[in-house]
Amino acid sequence: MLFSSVIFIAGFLPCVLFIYYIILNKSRQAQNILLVLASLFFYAWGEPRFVPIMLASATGNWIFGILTEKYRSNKRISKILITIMLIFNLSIIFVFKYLIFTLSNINLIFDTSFSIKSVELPLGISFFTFHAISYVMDIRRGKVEAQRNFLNVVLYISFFPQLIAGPIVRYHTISDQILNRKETFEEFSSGVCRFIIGFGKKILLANNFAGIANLSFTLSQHNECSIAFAWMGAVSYTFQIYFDFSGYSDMAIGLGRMFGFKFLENFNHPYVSKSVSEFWRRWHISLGSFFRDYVYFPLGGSRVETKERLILNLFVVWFLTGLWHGANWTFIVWGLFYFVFITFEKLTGFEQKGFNSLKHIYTMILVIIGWVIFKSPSIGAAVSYLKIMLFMSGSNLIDSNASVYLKENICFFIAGFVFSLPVTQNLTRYLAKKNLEDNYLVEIARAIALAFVFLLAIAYLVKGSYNPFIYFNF
Amino acid sequence: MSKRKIKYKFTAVIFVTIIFCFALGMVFNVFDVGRDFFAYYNSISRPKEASIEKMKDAICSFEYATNDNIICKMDFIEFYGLTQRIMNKKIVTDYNYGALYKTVYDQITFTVYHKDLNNAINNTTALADGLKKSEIPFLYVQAPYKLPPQISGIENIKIHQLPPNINEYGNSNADNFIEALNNRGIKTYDMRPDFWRSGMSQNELFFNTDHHWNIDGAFLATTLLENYLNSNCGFNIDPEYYDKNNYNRKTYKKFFVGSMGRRVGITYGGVDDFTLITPKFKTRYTVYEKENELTKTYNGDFNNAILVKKYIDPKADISEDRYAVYHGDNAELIFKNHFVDSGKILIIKDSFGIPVYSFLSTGVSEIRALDMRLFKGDVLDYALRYKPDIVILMYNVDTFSDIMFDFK
Repeated sequence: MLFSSVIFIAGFLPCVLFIYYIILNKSRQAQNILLVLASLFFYAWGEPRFVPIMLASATGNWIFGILTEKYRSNKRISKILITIMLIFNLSIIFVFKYLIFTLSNINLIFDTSFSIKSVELPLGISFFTFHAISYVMDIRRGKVEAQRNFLNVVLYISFFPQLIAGPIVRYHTISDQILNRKETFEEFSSGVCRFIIGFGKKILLANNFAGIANLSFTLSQHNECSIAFAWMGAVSYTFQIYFDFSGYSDMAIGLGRMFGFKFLENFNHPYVSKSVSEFWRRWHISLGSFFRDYVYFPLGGSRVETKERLILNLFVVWFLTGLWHGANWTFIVWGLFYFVFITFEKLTGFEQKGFNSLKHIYTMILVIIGWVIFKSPSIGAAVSYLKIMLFMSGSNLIDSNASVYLKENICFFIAGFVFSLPVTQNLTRYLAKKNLEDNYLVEIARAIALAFVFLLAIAYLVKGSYNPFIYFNF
Repeated sequence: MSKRKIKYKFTAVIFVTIIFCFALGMVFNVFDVGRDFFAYYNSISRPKEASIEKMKDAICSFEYATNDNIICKMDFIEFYGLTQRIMNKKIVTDYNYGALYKTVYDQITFTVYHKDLNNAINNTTALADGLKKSEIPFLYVQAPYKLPPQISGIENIKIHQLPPNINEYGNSNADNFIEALNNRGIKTYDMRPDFWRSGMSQNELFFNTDHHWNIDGAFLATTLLENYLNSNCGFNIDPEYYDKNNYNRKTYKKFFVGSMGRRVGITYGGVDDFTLITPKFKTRYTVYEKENELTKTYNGDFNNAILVKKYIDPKADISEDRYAVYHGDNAELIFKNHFVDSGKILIIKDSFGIPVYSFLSTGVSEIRALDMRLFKGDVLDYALRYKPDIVILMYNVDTFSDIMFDFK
């Protein structure tokens, strides 16, 4: 089920809220059972056949959690258990996500002919698998206790706000909230505002940019794309993926708050970054911190004796980051592309030098190029697209697509640019400075503005515009 | 209550009110949701599908039904249209068509993409050959479409009406189809040049909010067809039956929002006038309407036997399909004209044919109309049993889909 669907807004959410707050408000356990059932229903609505896979993952990791806690003091057994747990979780993700990719590359390299029927990718498999790994790893590290109650583990792994497209919620950040969260109307209200902001980002901005991006990438494969339209398409995709994914994260965080959960932030205006390293501290923060804590630090991080070792550690992290996004060389190259520039920045102390505006331009150009690689169906297609952008393909400078789509979507480009910046943060800060933040008029104006955004997004939804979520594929 | 605790609460109250109104609205519309669910499910579900696929179909159908029955749906579409108008957009995203466009004449249209015509050409040839063996003449009539072809003599109408990046293949598909039929010796009448050279403006010929020609456009098409039949197909229809002076015209102002308009809202697409054209002269008909082995019979003059008056009821919603007033989409229609004793025409038609066969029926003794979306029989068998003076296949340029040429 999509957050940005009528069935979610008009059916699922009001039903779950009503039962949660009106019927089951006296029993935390009953509320948790409701959230588990609702989450399984939410997942089954999109992919009924994969519910058993997710439940198998939860069951296995529940058992691993108990065993890991029991043998935490025994390093050898603990290490074996963690190894088996990783094999278990990574096998699930490997079979569904990487098996065909691996076999096709083996066939290509060794001229073999392994064949396998196409495997459908379970929704959100990368997210719920990482949740599960986080659960057992946090027990191993002694940060949390294992859950004896199976339903609580299922709730953590499958909780519908973060189930399909993140953020990757680390177990230790919400373990206490599963039983001891406190719902308040103030928290609920801030969750509602956050949800509406994400809803608007997704439907009003991301969906509109998607059409332009898709057209330009399609035309580029037929050599029918001008330089200007290629840039417009790349910029559109840059906006689309940000508003799509950060919009989803906003909705997830907002929904979590509505039910008393506090998830950590996943985005922090990444397009204001002045280095690629900074960009990755602001983009998909939950994934970056997952790899940092569970891969980079265990490898020694940056506190290693040699540069070579540092480079190797960075290579592993960025190779895995690319691979996590999908079974295609484009994602691996995209990850390694960032490896190259982050390594360069680390070794040269780039972040401490130079002019901020030039550094910002450098960062955004690299980010846009990165997204071209990311979106392209193959490395060849990415190279062709980049050649058009860089005046190397002989394409026309401008075509009618560029002029028409710019004219048609100028409002969206302006909105995309403005809302990529920390406008609302700055506005809130300004209101606080002027002691206006809790003024009734300001509050009413905010409510009207958000209600307008919500109703307008519903109007777009009812009209039936293009409505995919990019990160559902990961 | 401290001021601090006020923060965000107005928004939360509004949000909760809205989503619970949606939910209650869905409960009140439960029968409509159920009806749409089953209709959609039956249209997409196949009998031997695996149960998991059936479940997916059911989920998809339920999403469709809830989306279609959300309360204030038309108000939301109006709101959407208002924003498109404020932004002066000429391209509007649409779930079914991909996009809708506002032409330079402020008419809403979709575009037709390049189509593979082989199946249409082969099936039409087979039908024409089958009829030829029984000496029943066959004629393909190419009806126009909202966007004119590149022809001379229509300087009053702009050819390029869409944003310059949009490719439109409707007319070129039709050109290719007609050329292929002509190469196979099949008689064709490309109505488009005569139609567009009539001197009437595009807004006088087509609805702004619907993809169909308006009633004046359909009437013009009828006169052109009558003229062609008399000149080229051995008919001897009295032209007086198609003299516009022999017809009443009643124009209902701001009366119709067509299928394109319903997708973009009145604020963006506007409202059309609707002109009802009916004969001044005396008529007497028996009309048989056949659907699913049921036959309904209507007797009376043109107004009582042919017109379906519920569609022009001023009390009906403005989005009512007024165009269907000339006896709309049925699998098989038979119009027996008791005041004329010659001329039997079988017409295989799309929705553009609706007013045309009604007007054409005034000058011949019998017209039968088949709609391939609904008619499940064999057209050749039907024609051989009926033995008409001519079989006409009349489609507009958007009708080159397999189902419309599945004559068996």
